[in-house]
Amino acid sequence: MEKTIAHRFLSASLSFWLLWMWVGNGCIYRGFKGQAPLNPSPDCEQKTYADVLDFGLKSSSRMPKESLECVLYKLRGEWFYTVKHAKVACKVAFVLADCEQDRERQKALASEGARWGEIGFSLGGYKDAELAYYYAMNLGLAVQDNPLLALKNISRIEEKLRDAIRLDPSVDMGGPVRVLAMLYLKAPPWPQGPGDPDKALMLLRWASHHFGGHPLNHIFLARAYLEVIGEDANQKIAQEIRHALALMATKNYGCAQQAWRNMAMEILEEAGIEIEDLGEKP
Amino acid sequence: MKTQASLVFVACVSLSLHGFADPAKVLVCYTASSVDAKQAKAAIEQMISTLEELGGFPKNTFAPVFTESLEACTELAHKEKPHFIIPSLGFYLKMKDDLGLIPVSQPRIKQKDFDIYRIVVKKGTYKDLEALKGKVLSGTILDDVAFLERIVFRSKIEPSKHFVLKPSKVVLRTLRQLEKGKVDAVILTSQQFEALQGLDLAKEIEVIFESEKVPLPGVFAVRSTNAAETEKFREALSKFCSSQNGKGFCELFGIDGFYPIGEAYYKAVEALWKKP
Repeated sequence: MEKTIAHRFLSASLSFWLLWMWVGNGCIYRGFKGQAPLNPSPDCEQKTYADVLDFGLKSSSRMPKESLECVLYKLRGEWFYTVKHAKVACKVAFVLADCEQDRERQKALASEGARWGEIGFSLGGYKDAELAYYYAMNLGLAVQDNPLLALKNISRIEEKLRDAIRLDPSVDMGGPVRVLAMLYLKAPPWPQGPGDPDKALMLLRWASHHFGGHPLNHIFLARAYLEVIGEDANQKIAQEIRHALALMATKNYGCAQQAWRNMAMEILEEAGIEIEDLGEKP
Repeated sequence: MKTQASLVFVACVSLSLHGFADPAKVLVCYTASSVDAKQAKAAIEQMISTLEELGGFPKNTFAPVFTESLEACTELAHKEKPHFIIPSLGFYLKMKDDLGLIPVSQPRIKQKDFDIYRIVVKKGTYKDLEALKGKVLSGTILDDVAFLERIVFRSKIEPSKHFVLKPSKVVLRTLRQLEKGKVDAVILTSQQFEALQGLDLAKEIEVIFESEKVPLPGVFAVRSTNAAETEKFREALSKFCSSQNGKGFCELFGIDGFYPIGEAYYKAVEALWKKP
C-alpha cells in the first residue's frame, strides 16, 4: 500500500516536473502568451550566440529594430542562461520597449525585460550595475500606467537604481543617477513616498557635470530647475536646454531624438522661454 | 530612452481619461505638500473607478478634479459643482456653510482619527512658543493661517504676528533648513513627525509645542447631492479598504478604513472655528 502511494507520489511529481520544464522552457522559447512576438532580421538564424551577445551589449536606440529583435529572439531560444545572457536580454528588451509606439507591446517587452532582470539577479548578477539599471528601467516602464502597481514597485526601482549608482554610475552616461533623480523629482514627497526635489536637483547637477555628453542629463536638469526653483532659474534652464539641443544636433540618438526634443520644447514653453532666446538655431 | 522621464515617476500616469458626458465631479484638494497633479489624478481615477464598482454606480459616473492649491480648491468647488469633496479640514470649516458640506466618511490612519500638530526646534535653542516670538516658522500647513490660529493654536496666539511664517511644500527641505539654522522652527503633522523618527535629524531636535487632537479631514457631500447617492458613496467607501483593488491603496497610505461619520462629528472643531 505504502509502496503504491510512494509510487503515485513520485510519478505525479515527475509528471509535474516534466510539465513544468516543458511549460517553463516554452515560456522562454520564442514566445508564450503575453510575450511580444518578434520579427528578427532574415539573417538572424545564421548569427552565433557570441555574435548576438556582443551586439546586444552595445545595443542602443540607434540600432535597427530588426537586429535588436534578432538578439532577443536568439536569447529567448537558449536553454542555458548566464548573468551576461540575462543582462543582454534585459537591456535589449528595454531598448525595444523604449522605442515602441504600441503601449501593449511596449508593456510586454518591458515586462519581459524585468523578468530577465530577475533571472540575472537569481544567477548572481546583483553586483552588475547595468543589470540593475535596465531592470529598474523595464520595471518602471512596465508599471507606469497603473498607479497602484507603480506605487508598490517604487521602492524596488529606487533600490535597484541606488545599487547601480553604487556599482557604476557611468552606465548609460550617468543613467542611474539621472533616472533616480527624476524618481525623486516626480514621486510622492516624503513621508508619503521617496520624493525629494532637492536631492533630485543635486543628483542632476552631478550627472550633467560628470556626464555632460548626454542630452538627457541637461534636459532633466532643466526640468528640475523649473520644478524646484521656478522661473527665477530661467537663465539656467535656457543654458541646459541649449546644451542638450547642441548635443542632439551633432549626434543621432535614434528613436529617442524626437521625444527628447519634445521634452526640451515643453520645458521652454512652461518656463516661458522663446526658442529664439536660446541664442542659436537648434 | 525617450520614455525615461515618464517611466521613472512611477507614481504614475494614466492618460486614458474616460470619455463620458457630464460625469459628477469628485473634487480632491491636497494642499499639504507638492504632488504632481497628473500623477495624482491618475491614482484618484483608479480609486474612483473602484468606488463606482463597490457602490454599484454605472462606470464613469464620477470624474476626479484635483488641485494642490487652497485658492484653486475654492474656485473649483464653485465652478465644477462637485458632488463630493475631499478637502483639508480648514477648507471644510471655511466653506461648510457656503457649499453646504455634509460629512460622509473619515479615514482612520494607524487606528487614529485625529492629527496632532507639533512644533520642533533644534535641541536647546528655544524652550516654548514665547521664545519663538519673531522667529521663522516653516512647514507645509502654513498656507491656511486661519486654521492654524483657530484650530491648532486655539486662538491663543496670532501666528502671522507671532512668527515670521515661511510656508513650504517640501517638508524635507524645511527640516534641512532647520538643521542648518536657516529657519528657527518647523511645524509638523503626526505623519511627518512619526516619519522624522527614522531620520538622523531626530536626535538633534525637540518638540516645544504639541496641539490638542484635531480630527482628520474626511469625505464630504455637497448640499445638492441627493441622499441616495451620498449613502451609496458612503457604503462604497466603507468597503473600499477591504476590496481587492482598494486594499493596496489603503495599505500604501496606512489607511485602516473609511468610517461613516455624521454632522455631529466636527461640532467641537466647528465651535472653535466660530469662536470670536
